Amino acid sequence: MDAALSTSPLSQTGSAAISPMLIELAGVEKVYRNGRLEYAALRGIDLSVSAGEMVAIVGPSGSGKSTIINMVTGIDRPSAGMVTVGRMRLDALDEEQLAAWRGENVGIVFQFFQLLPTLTALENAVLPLDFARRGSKRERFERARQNLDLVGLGSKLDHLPSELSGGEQQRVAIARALACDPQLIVGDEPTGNLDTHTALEMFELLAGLNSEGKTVLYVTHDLSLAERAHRVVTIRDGLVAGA
Amino acid sequence: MTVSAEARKSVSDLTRRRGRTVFAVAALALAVASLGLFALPTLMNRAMSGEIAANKLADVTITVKPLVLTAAQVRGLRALPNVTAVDPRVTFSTLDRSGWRTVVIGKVSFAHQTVDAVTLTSGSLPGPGAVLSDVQNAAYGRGVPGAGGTVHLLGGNGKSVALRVSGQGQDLNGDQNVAQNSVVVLFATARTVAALSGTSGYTQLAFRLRDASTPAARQTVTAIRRYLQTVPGFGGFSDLPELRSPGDWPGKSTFNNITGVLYVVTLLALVGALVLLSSTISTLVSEQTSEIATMKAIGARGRQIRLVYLRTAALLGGLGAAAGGLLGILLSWALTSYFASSLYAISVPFSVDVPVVVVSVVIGVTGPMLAALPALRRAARLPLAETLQASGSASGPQTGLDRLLRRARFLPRTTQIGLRGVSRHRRRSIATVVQVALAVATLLAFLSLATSVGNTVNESWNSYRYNIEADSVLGQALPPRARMLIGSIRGVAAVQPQLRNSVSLGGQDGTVWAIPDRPMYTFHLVSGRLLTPADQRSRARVVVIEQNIARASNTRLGRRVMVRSAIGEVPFTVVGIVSDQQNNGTVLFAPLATMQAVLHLPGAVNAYWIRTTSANHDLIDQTNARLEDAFAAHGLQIKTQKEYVGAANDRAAYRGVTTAITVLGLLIVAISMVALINTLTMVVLERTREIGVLRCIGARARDVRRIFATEGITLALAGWLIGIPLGLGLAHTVVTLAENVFNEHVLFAFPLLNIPLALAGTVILALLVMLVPLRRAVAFNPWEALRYT
Repeated sequence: MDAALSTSPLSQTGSAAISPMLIELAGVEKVYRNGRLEYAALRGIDLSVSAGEMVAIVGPSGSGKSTIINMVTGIDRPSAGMVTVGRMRLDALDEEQLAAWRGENVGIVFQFFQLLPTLTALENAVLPLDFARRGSKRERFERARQNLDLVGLGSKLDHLPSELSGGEQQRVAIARALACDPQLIVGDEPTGNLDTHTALEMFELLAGLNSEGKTVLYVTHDLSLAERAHRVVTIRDGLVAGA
Repeated sequence: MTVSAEARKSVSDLTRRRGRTVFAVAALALAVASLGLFALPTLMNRAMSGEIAANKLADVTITVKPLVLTAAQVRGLRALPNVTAVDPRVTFSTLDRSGWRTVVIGKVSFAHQTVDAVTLTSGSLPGPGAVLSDVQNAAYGRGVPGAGGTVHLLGGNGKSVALRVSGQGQDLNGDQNVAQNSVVVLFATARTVAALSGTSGYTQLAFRLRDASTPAARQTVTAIRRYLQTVPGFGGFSDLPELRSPGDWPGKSTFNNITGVLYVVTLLALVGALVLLSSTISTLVSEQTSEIATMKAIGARGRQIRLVYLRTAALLGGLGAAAGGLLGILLSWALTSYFASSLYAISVPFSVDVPVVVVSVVIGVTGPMLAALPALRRAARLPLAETLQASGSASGPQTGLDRLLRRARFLPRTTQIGLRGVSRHRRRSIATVVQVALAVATLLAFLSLATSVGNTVNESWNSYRYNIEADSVLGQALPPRARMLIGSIRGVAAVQPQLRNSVSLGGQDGTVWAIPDRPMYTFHLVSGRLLTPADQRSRARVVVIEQNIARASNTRLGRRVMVRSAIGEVPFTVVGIVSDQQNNGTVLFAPLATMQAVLHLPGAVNAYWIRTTSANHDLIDQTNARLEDAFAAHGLQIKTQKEYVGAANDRAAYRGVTTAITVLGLLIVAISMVALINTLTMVVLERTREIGVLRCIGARARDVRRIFATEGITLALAGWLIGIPLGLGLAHTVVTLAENVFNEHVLFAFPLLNIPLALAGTVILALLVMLVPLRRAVAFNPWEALRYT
């Protein structure tokens, strides 16, 4: 791997040595307000995930699973409590710092892929490297190509998302998540929009990444996929019901 | 070359919706191209400076009563301080065999021309008994034959004189005279003209000066006057000396007036284009809410996201500026060539006004980027968690209007959904309404301008209660027998004498119309009083002045003012102000007897108003022909104007100008309408997914069409409503501007009929532009529509 691209992001932004505890949520609450209406999505979550772990979050719809993912990735901010990832207090960072941190330290895989429709698979996979200004342009494309090879899409580099199947689009999303070689991969229902066979393939990909040392945290409705994680965290009514 | 994905996104955002990009680029290109109009004065000056040098254009031209000068006296004039060259000449006005009013300019020598040189373009210079035809005669179809041909002119003795045409020549004054005054201009030697007219002496003295600045020129005029007073037979200046400022050329102020009006159109076009681009980028950003969130989620900082869209705006701007810049260069050159060739018969070499092009391109590139900033600021503030779930543009918050509409149960459901769409997408709705309002306002304002100018011209011509006007050539006094001659012509019912003379009031050039009692003219009094028989009898030094010159010279009613005339400054009291528009509103009306006394010209008259026995055009034509023939037969030089022909020509000329302005105004309307097309297209496209949902739950194509038609018509109606007061304000601005540019009072008119016409146009256009995207949207099957991005 190119020296310019192979960094250890969490160690860069966090401590000198990797902490055994990568993610820590302490007393996290999230209240959504819409006019006079208030809705508490999280009611005081305490959750820890160690480096190298593979953790599944399950629970009924509206229980707060995705909100936890949003907290861990800095996509949303807690109303109360602390969110620490790799010793970085996310709740203390502003939007710009969060965006920069996210780009270098977390790979996110969404249920609806969220690929940019006008960019090819290769361009989608290279985008986080562009944002992070990692290496030369040639090196970035080389890295993106490797990642697309890794997810089995080496032959469809120039395809637009609309020219790819759902499973292929999700592979591009995973390749994009791997762009900056983050220690943490987060999936928000990453297989929720895929058929069983493709979902299984996607899961194997994530499991493979975990076996290479990456921490994987994912939300799923599929209990059979959840059971293959090291640990299953159940969320109910904004609280951890079981871990 | 490897292009970063960020840069590729900026490009692909444009290629993604090609139609919209083409519209936006086209609108910007038109606006940038119209900035090229600012280059016209520079290009024209550049073209004319060469001609001024080649033509050795006179700095001072003095009109005198026919004056015989010896070679020594001409040398004496040339020896005066500040004078570098002098060219005495004689002008004879007559008719050719086809009835064209013909002006023959007699010059001392064509071999050594030092002032107002005529450039030979074909054939040879005229010798004795020959004339050189101005190139414009042929261009304007005046029927003058080419070199070797013969023209037949009515001589001073009333007999036809045949003169050989030696060739064609070019002269800036002559060229403009042919183009604008419907005459034939011929050049000949002074001796040929003397033989033709039967009189001797020069009527004009043209000078070139070392220092042509106004103070220096005035001093030189004083020295010339002093010198001429020593010449036997000198009877004073016939008119105020014509001073040409350095860099001036004949017709420059008219040309600048026209370009001045074009500037207003240009600026409105630019505003329209920038509103369109702002809306385009705003739509682009709002439809990509989810993509912006995705970019944030994978590590893009706000600056990087802004850069993506700024680059898109810059690309739009770059394309529009490149196309518009190029178009502007061609447009400015083509228009300069058109004016130069039609007015002066000169061809303009291809030329570019670099500063204007640079400024146009800079505005073209930076304008869209600046117009994009509000949308980008909004995009940066989007909450990430919510926008990640967005499927297109944000649906917008629930508004009070929205709640109100929800309660309006009497409305059909489809209408209600359409109306709520308008209230929910408030920002976009406002932008669309603003664009429609701008279009409606521009349309109403330019239609108002056209009507106002038309009414003003009509009022001006309706003031005349005579049918023919006969003026002497170069303001020379006509002999007393002229009046008797006119009175003896069949068809003439009444005749009134006048004395007209150039003057200056408070530094503003004007003309005195010295008129008799009960003139054949209707005044439009604003303040004070009109001239009375008592003024005439007592030769009172009183004037009634037109509003424009009063305003320009800051002259008020009751003031005692100094009027500079051919004999020097004379005090007058302003007793009345009228809103009339003769000579662009620069006329001072004085009692005839007073002016004759002031100018030391007892009984002098140089113009007549003639009323015919009937207003029948055939009779007027016949009377006019008899009049011209009779004057020519008596060796008297006059030029006549038939009131009905003049009115028709004037109306046609103003109609031409206002039509040109209105066409340019329509350019702004077109740009605004492109914006409406753009917005309404986006309204449909970005809600294709919503259409899919509606179709899934049983909505028929006509239901979908009704929803969006309601939205489109509501926006068009709101824009029209706001456009009416805006149009009224803009109309006042444009008319005021036209008044300043033309230095003429314009009677403001805002025809109410145009308001429903604008409504019909707006609604029909809104429905038409929605047809294509709606057809496309309802043609999708629900599954495709649901997947639409």
